[in-house]
Amino acid sequence: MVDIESLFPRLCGSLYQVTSPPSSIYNCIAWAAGDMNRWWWPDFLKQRHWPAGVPREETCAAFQEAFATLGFVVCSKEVAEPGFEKIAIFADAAGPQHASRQLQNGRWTSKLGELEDMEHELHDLEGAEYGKVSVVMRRPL
Amino acid sequence: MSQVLTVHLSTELYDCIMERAASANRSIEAEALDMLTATAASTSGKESTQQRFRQLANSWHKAVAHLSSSSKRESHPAYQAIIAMGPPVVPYLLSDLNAHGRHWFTALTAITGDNPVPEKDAGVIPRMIDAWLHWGRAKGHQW
Repeated sequence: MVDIESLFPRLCGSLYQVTSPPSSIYNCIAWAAGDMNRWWWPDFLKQRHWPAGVPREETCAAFQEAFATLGFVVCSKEVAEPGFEKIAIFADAAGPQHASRQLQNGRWTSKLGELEDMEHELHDLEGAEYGKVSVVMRRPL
Repeated sequence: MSQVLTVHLSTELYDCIMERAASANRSIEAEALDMLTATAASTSGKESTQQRFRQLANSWHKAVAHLSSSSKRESHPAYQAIIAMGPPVVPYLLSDLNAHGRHWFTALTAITGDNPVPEKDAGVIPRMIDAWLHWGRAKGHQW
């Protein structure tokens, strides 16, 4: 059993909620992209899904390009805006590590690797495991 | 130190040992002892491979389950140690894939040099599992 709060200390005392059982079928990038049927990652062996034509690189530019294939563009605000859906990419020194998707209520939803989905405040997952929010993107609903 | 062991053999096994002993011009006792020793060594090796795999697999899963990054997940020392175990670990990878769906795809490719997953199914985990289990059966692996 993985202790989520020990991995993400900012969740301690925060109003987060686990919203699904664990699944190794899809990951955070897929979940942010609205795809529950595939595991997304730009691995060089091409064993995971990655949008066609987007470089298989673990860089913020490649991840932004992947979400751009779904109509997302970079924006400056992380607060909810009526008529838009937003995603956030987390990165550390090694590159992108995680992505979250904003819910209609302004909170965020994440899939934690092959663990559960959860609803949380955006910055509660920042830290040693996922790094920090590096970019927010939005698309019209 | 030696021990005395009385063994009751089936007729088929007795005949097999007799035949091997005769063809090697050895005593039936020497042939039976060699077979017993080889079987014990083989069984012991299987158990230790299985135990080591289970320990490493559980350690790996606990460390990386919350991660999406394939490079971080697969560069973990436990994952690399499993790859280093080589072909003997393949049946255990397939068994774990079948039972738990954990992502051993890169390890299987690294060890076997094969990748039976069609490009269109990359990332579709149930189909990737099916492709590897089908590959395993075709190669004669049992799990």
